[in-house]
Amino acid sequence: MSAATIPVQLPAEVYTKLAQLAAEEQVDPVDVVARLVDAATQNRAWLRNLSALREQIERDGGLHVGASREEVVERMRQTRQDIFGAEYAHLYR
Amino acid sequence: MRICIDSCVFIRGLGQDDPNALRLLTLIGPELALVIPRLIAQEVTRNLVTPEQVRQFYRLFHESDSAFIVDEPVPAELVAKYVDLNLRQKADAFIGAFAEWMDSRYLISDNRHFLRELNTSSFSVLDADEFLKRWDNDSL
Repeated sequence: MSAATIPVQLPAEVYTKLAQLAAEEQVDPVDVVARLVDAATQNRAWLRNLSALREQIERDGGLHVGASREEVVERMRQTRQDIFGAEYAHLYR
Repeated sequence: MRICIDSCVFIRGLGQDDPNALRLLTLIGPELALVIPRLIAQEVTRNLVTPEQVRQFYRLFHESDSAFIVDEPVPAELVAKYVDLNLRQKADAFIGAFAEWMDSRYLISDNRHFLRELNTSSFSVLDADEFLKRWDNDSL
């Protein structure tokens, strides 16, 4: 049994690009649309959670990792050495 | 395409007004998969300041099909290889070895030890600015 379908009207320019994509990939234009919708849905969850984390950090007064790029790099290098030394170094002697 | 993002870039994208580091993070999705070792996740969370921030960080990965944290230890012989490739600090060698082990095409980092000293054909090391320039030019 085939899935229910709904007709959609697209601007000609959009349809032309969609048809080009489908032709390049040798698939039906519907498959291209389905893939793009799936990708957008997945990306939306990531963006929503990323935004929530940034807002949480801002509400909490930011991170205390230094102001410049160089200061952040140095801070993170020190953090790496500390964690690696404590939890990983014994695996790589 | 699969990439690895270093903790310094992650932190700048999350907690600082760095438009390119943030934009890089927003690109993660089916077209640009992210894979990081547990070590990088630990480095980021060590510099978050509340339990809710840490929960939110892990939620990013739990609810994504395009971003992954790998727990398994990197093979020791690969770490040794990256020590020989000029990453004398084993912690840095671990990250380089991870990028090769995971078949990452790019390691995105601001760490000068990666940017200037690492010489490998297994992946490229770029900062976020250069990666985005190439992304926008379709030249990655």
